Amino acid sequence: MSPPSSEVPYGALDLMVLKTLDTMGAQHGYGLARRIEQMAEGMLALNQGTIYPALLRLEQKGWIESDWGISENNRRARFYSITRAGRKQLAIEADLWSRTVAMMSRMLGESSS
Amino acid sequence: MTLRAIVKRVSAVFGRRSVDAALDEEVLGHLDLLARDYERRGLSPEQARLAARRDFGGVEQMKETYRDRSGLRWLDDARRDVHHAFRTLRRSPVFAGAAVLTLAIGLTAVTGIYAILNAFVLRAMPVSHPEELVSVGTGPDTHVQLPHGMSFVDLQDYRKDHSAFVDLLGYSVAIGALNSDNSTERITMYGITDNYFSLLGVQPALGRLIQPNEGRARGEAPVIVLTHEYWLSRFGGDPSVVGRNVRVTGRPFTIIGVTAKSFDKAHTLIYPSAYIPLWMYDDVMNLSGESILDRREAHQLWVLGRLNPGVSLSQARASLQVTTSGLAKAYPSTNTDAALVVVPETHARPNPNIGPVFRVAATAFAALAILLLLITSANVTNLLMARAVSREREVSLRAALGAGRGRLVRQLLTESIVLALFAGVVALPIAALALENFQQGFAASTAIATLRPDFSLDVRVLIGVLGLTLLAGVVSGLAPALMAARADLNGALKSGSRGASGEPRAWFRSALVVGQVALSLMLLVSGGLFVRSLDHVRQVQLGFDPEHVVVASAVPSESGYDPEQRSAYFTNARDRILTLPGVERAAWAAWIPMATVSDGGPFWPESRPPRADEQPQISATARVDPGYFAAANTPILEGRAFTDRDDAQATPVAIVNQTLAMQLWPGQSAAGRFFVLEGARVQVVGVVPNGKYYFVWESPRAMAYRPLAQNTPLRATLVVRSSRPPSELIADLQRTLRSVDPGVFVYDVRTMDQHLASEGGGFAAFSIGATVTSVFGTAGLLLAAVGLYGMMAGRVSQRTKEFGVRIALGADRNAILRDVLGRAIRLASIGIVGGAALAAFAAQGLSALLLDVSPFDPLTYGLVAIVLTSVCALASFIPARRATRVDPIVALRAE
Repeated sequence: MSPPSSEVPYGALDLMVLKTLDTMGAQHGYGLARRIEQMAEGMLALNQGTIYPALLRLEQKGWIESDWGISENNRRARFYSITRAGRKQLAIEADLWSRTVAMMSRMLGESSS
Repeated sequence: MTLRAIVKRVSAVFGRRSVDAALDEEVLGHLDLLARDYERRGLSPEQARLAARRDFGGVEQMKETYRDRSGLRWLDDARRDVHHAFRTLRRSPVFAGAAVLTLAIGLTAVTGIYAILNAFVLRAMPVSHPEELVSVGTGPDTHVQLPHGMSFVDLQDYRKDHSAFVDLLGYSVAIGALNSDNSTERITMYGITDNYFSLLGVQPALGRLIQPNEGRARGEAPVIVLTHEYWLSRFGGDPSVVGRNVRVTGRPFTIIGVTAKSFDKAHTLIYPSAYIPLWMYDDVMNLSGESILDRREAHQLWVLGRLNPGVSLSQARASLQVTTSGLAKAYPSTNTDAALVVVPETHARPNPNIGPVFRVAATAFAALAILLLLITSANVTNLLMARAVSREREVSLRAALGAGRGRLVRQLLTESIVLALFAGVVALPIAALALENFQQGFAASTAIATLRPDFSLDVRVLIGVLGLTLLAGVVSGLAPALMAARADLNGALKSGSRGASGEPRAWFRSALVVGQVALSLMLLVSGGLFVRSLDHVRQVQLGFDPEHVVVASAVPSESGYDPEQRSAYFTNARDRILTLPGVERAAWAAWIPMATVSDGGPFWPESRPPRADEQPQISATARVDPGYFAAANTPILEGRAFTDRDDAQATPVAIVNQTLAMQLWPGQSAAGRFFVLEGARVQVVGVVPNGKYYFVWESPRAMAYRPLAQNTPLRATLVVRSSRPPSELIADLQRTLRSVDPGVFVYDVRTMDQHLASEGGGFAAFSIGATVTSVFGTAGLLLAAVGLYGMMAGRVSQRTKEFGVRIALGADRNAILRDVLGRAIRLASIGIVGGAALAAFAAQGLSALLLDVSPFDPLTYGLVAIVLTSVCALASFIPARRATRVDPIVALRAE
């Protein structure tokens, strides 16, 4: 049996998108969704559709930008890439995230011992 | 939210279709790629498509989230509400048309009044820092003709000591003939102090303007500056006019420049064609020996001051008061009673004399227009209420599907706002047309000065009207929207009938009737009071019978005629006119009642001249032909009329009115006695009844007539009494006067009634007031009647079922009718009492505009109350009778 998959924690999807775009360069929505699922190795129950409102939100904040291009199935598709402001935000959020994770594991470690 | 996000969201709302299309394309591409992956892993195309759908999740749900996120929620909703409103209104064109037309009536009224208010009260002068300008006058005061004017000598003293002001300027209106290239045209000019243009900050469009220190002595600098418009109309915009020599009333002048185009709009009512230095005013007006510039009692100038930065109006007043008090001490005979008037420039329009009354009138009319708009809004509220009944199911359904109450109210309000906006679009061109007519009426009213108020619908008016339009939409729609949204959705969905909201709605409808009666009463009472005033004005004893009288004015002095030549012209012209068929009487008068140009002078008893510190009494004066009193149908109460023997060689004589006779010889006969008038000893030969001389609303004042032959005037008006139709006679008069002497300028050939209707002191103000109020009043009455009928009828027909039950149970039809009528009259009475209280309060503000009518005039109030009660009674009686005649079984089934 596969490990139990979980809902995406609030705010995590934004961070995943930014990180993916930062390492992989410009991607369309499907590419992003597939990449995020691969990284999660089945631990994540992602409705791929939910990525679009997230992309819109990030674009409105100016952290990513988009441009129309042609995808591998020869259709018009929107390609998203990270902006300079997005990279800055990524650094801030990644730092915040790892500190949260560290804190959470300390707390959980203490209570379980 | 950052600006960038806002811009993106707003543009997403309006580019909704392309945003949706782009998302669709993205989603389809995504699903296709996903399905291909599954196919590659060995699934059939059909299975792959289903798997892709599953992985993607709910497409529509995501799109909804995306849509909410992509635009601004409320803006997006508003856009949808407007669409929805358009669709619903298109489905009920009769309702929409009725509501739009009703609101359009109210909006036309407010637009028109707003534009007039804008011209006379609101619009700033197109000069630099217009807010610093104040109007300064000395008066009001019984001894001067222009209570808010200032004498030139006084102005010089005020200018000497003006810590609060940058400076003060003065100007006076002059009429003259401008001759260039052998053609003469009568023009209106401003005689201005040398600092006029520099203080206002006016720039020349061509050449230069009159400069400080230019023309500071009498007869110096005969220069003239043209307005931009006159330069275009008379000289075709020819730049070579600068330096050209022209003649103004026979005297040589040099054109030195043209004012900036924007300055043409600086004047509220009297538009000049040119400006001349004030020192040339006497020359141009042919005033010899009685210069307005030397006499402290000649309050001929309108004065504007520019406040120093940071100086308040009261500081300025206090600072000027010092000078006023000083002048009163130094010149007791002329300045004792002078009271200082300092008001913002906008309060002194169209001129400082009638500015205060004008402001009251403008405010009153604005209030009436707002009342009319409220009445139309109430009517539309009623229409919306009636509609809400039939739309209850739709609203309930939407509520059941999850629309919040706030959203429902917003959606319903959007509908009424859309209605109001349509009404605004209908109202604007109608108002523009009406204003254009009104404006032309002004322009045509007189030839003595160019009267041309600017009623254009400028940005300020448009913004104001837009605001009022939105307000009208909200006011008329709010209550029905709130009520509809509160309706219990279960009840409405289940029964399919009136729903459960009958109670609050019935209550609201009663309140609406009461409010409508109160508003209508206020409007109709105000209108009624004006109409009664005008009635009284028409019955005023003018001391002159205007019927069958045609007048014509001539200015032989402008052709350079000396007194003898003028006298010859007057005699010649009169005798020729007397030979015309149908002419019964003809006589010249230097002045006729309410004429803009009037004379006056001091008088005292021969035995007791005034002391040095005493102001003599002032009488209006007029020089008239022997036949004047007969032509005017003025009876001679005592003594005799003038005769041809009262000429320059004979004893100076006068005919006085009762007021003057009473003042000098109370209780005694005046005929044959002597008194001093304008410094000359004159003998009274006759007494005539009191009349109205400067203003139809003035209190009785002293009047002394002198024979024309004893002092020939510069200009005069021929009074012709005839049995012929005026239009024929007017043409005949013009032809004849031209043939007597084509060189003499003849103007204002018209009936005496036309003269009285158009002159500022005559009926002009009252007839404008009566026109506006009767238009408003008629519209108000119609709207009130229609609205009340609809409201009452709506109330009654709601009870059809109840009547059916009562009749089925054996109730007497007449008892039901009595009950319905009783309720209607009760509601009307509450509205009438409330409205009367409000009207009585508001009418006190009107009292300044009413002539011999109390603001509590019982006749007006009573009539209006009867009309409104009858409308209410009739409006409930007719539907009630129909309801009670219906077979009870049918009535019970009716819904």
